Amino acid sequence: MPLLSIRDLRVEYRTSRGTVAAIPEFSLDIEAGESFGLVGESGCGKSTLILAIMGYMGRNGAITRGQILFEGQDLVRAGAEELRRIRGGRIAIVYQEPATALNPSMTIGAQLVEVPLAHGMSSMVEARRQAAHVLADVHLPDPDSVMRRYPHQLSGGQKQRVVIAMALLANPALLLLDEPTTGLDVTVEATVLDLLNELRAKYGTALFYISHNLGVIAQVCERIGVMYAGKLVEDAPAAGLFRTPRHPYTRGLLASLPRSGADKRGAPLLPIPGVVPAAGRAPASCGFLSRCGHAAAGVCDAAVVPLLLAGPGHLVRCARWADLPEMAAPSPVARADAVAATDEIVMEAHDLTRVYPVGRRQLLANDRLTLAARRGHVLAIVGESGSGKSTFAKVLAGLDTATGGSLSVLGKEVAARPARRRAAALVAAVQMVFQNPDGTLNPSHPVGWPLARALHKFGIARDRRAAEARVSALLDMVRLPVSLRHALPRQLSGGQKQRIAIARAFAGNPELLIADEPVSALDVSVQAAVINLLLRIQEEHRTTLVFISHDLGLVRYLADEVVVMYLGQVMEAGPVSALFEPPYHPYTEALLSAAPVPDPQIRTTRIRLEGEIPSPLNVPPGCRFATRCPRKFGRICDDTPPPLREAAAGHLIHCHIPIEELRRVPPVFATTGPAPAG
Amino acid sequence: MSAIANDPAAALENAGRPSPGLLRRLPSSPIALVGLALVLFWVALALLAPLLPLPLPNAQDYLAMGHPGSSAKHWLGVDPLGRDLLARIVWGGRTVLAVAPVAVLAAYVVGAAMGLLAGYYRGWVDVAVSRASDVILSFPVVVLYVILIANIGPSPLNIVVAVVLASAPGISRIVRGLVMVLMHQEFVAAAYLRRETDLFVMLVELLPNCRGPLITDFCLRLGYTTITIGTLGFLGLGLPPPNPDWGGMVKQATSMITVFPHMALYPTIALVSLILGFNLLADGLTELSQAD
Repeated sequence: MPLLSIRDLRVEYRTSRGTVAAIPEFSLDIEAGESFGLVGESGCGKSTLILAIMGYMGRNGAITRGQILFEGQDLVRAGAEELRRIRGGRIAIVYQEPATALNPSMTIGAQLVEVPLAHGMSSMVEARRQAAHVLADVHLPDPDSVMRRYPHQLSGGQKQRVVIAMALLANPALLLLDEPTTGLDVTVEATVLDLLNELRAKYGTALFYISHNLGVIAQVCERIGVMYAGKLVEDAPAAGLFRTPRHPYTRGLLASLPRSGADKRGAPLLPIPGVVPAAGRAPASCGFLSRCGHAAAGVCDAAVVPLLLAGPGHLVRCARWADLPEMAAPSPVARADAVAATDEIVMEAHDLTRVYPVGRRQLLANDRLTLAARRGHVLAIVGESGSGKSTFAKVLAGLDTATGGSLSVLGKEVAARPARRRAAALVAAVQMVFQNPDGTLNPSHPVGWPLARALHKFGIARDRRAAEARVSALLDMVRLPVSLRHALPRQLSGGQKQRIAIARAFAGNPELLIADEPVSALDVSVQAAVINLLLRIQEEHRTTLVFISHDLGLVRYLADEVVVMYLGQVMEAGPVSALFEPPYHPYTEALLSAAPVPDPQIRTTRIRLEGEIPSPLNVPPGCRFATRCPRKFGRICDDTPPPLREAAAGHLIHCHIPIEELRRVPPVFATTGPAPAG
Repeated sequence: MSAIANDPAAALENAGRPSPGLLRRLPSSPIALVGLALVLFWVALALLAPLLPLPLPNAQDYLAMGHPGSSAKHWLGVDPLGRDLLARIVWGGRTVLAVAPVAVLAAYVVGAAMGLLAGYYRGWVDVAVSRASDVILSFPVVVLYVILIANIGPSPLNIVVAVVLASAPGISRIVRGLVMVLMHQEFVAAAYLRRETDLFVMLVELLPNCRGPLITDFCLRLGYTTITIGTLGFLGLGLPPPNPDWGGMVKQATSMITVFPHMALYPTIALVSLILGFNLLADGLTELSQAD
């Protein structure tokens, strides 16, 4: 008997426009001790499924059909008392946001002991002993002191460990994980994923892991399900899913990710056309019909497509799966450096420093930053949150000013010059695309307005008709219909808003575009389309792009040069081909090793960083990275700032370790099994 | 196949979806509709006052003074001076409905300006505006009105001045809070990257996004101001006689409230129904904005 068996589940929501089936029909079995991952973009019904399993359907939602059998008992029909025993006892859940999962007014210890006490499993003394024990299991140092602390005294990663500890306290048979690492930095995410694998081996808990990130799922799950429009469209062992994806949607998801080793000149990203249909709006026969490039009339729209067996343990809900060609493995292409190192330097920072006074202390956001970007190149800046990437972007754009050093843009010194005190032509020449699609457009104005306004302010369109024509051209450039100019931002999808933001940035024909995590808030398939668009326009206009990201896969794909930042300083800088091969800076190595790779065939070395990035209020005196460095050299790392070493022409590493030694470090990425055919 | 070209189709589908603003969705809230009906009832009476077959509000009917209760000639009866109560209520509505919106609007101009400046510039501007507001807000409102009107004299303009002084700090606080949140939004940064002026950012980028909470607050404040005008009238600080004034009418009738209760009752009902109308409208708007 499976541990969890969902049978013919149908979940409906009542809305002002009638009843919609968020999950039309869903069946799934999870065995005891198994780790199952469910992927899908937002709007596919993943969260609704979690709510249904936990019995937390809101007042307007209802399970109208089917069963959720857990250890043989139907959760849909269980009474409140029965559910109380099961929830938190036999089934536990870890949510995305650890900060809201913990009560800020109670100590960690008080919250942990509630679990065994509420389930009547032990006495107070016994509960405290158990709590300390499980905190040690999730590798929190000094459990007794953690128990006495309040949530705000812990970092994000530590909080998520506490939440996982809390979930494990009752020794549940099933652990639901709803995007548990989405808000965490990659280095912290990697340690949490390791922890989950370790705990599953130790406790034998079955994992039901929900995520939009295929890379994360690949690291934790043995079996993967792909959900689309409320239905399971593919269900396969992890290796099989990545090696021979059968459903066009699964293939689309994989093709829209930069595969390892691919770059923008070799293999372009292939976005999935269209958007996820609104709940209940998907075609009944095959939910993916309207976005599928392989749909055939009379086959795909005829009858409801059932789950078909495509291989051992490999189920796919596609009527044409057998007709589809095998998905071509990404062919490794020799990286051609199409940009020349002799190109003109358009932006150069030298010892750029930004210090914020915080009370009597100083927050070092940028500390003697030295870097440069050449015309038409893509310069990627990577690093964890708190490394000062966004501060640099703001200073460069003129939204903030530096407190020291120099910053020259197109030959003009702008370090101390906010946008308002820069010449109009210079402001038009340095534009920015922001991270959050929902905040980037003013909700009160139609989307064409900021475009027209920018044209007016930059003196590009002299009269109304010229402005109208130019707005149309800009919308056309970002592949949006001209009629959209009168729509309000809330009528647009996230991807469309980012396109408008790109159009706005290009209104003044910029020479330097700063993109601060422009796609991190978008779904995978939409990300690919926006990245393709951005790169196409950038290449056409020979715009210099400063691309800030924490996604190393994406950076490897699109960057020409990369700068790795940590605590306001540059750790390593160089051409992208050099950054992803030894010699690495130990921090770069750790970042690469932590990045989740959506391909189980690629094995990465396992380098994990202790703890989290220190506060920029209190930076280590020697090497900034010394407190977490797995290759720490000795006392010198703590005391003396590291020298700048040149590994190759243009490839700089800030480290005490000699280049020769760093060169001997094994590469992070290695392929196991047969090499992908070329 | 261009993958990107497929996206606009979905965009158009999105654009066709109805998403009306707060005021246009009003009909879907019964509470708001009841409130609106009450308010519109008084607005209609006030507008039509000169056209209605009523005696002049200050015309005295000495014959009716013997029997001040309702009669065929005076539907609601007459006041102690023999003036038709219905006429005085209808004409009194004109003053309330003219003074209250003007006063609240004026308070909004001043309050929104204060809030915009404080929330936008922070620093010493914020300190100055906020501390000044705190001083005003530390007075009980009625005491503040009495002190003001007693000193500058009762007149419609002075009522407006008093309402502005008493309400602007509260409005300023709301706007300041909203502006401080909006300032972190990226569209504000985008405006700086067009070299927009501070004034433009405040008035065109920030202020329009405050309107949701402000519309609700506006209705509530109309209700409060109506109470204020009534209270001032009752305290003898409203419009100077013989102008019809609901609060003043109640005051005039208090000495004979046990003999002729209708003289105080009808203006009170008028006052209560108008205030109720404004409050229900505000409640309905709150409900609608929370339903988003």
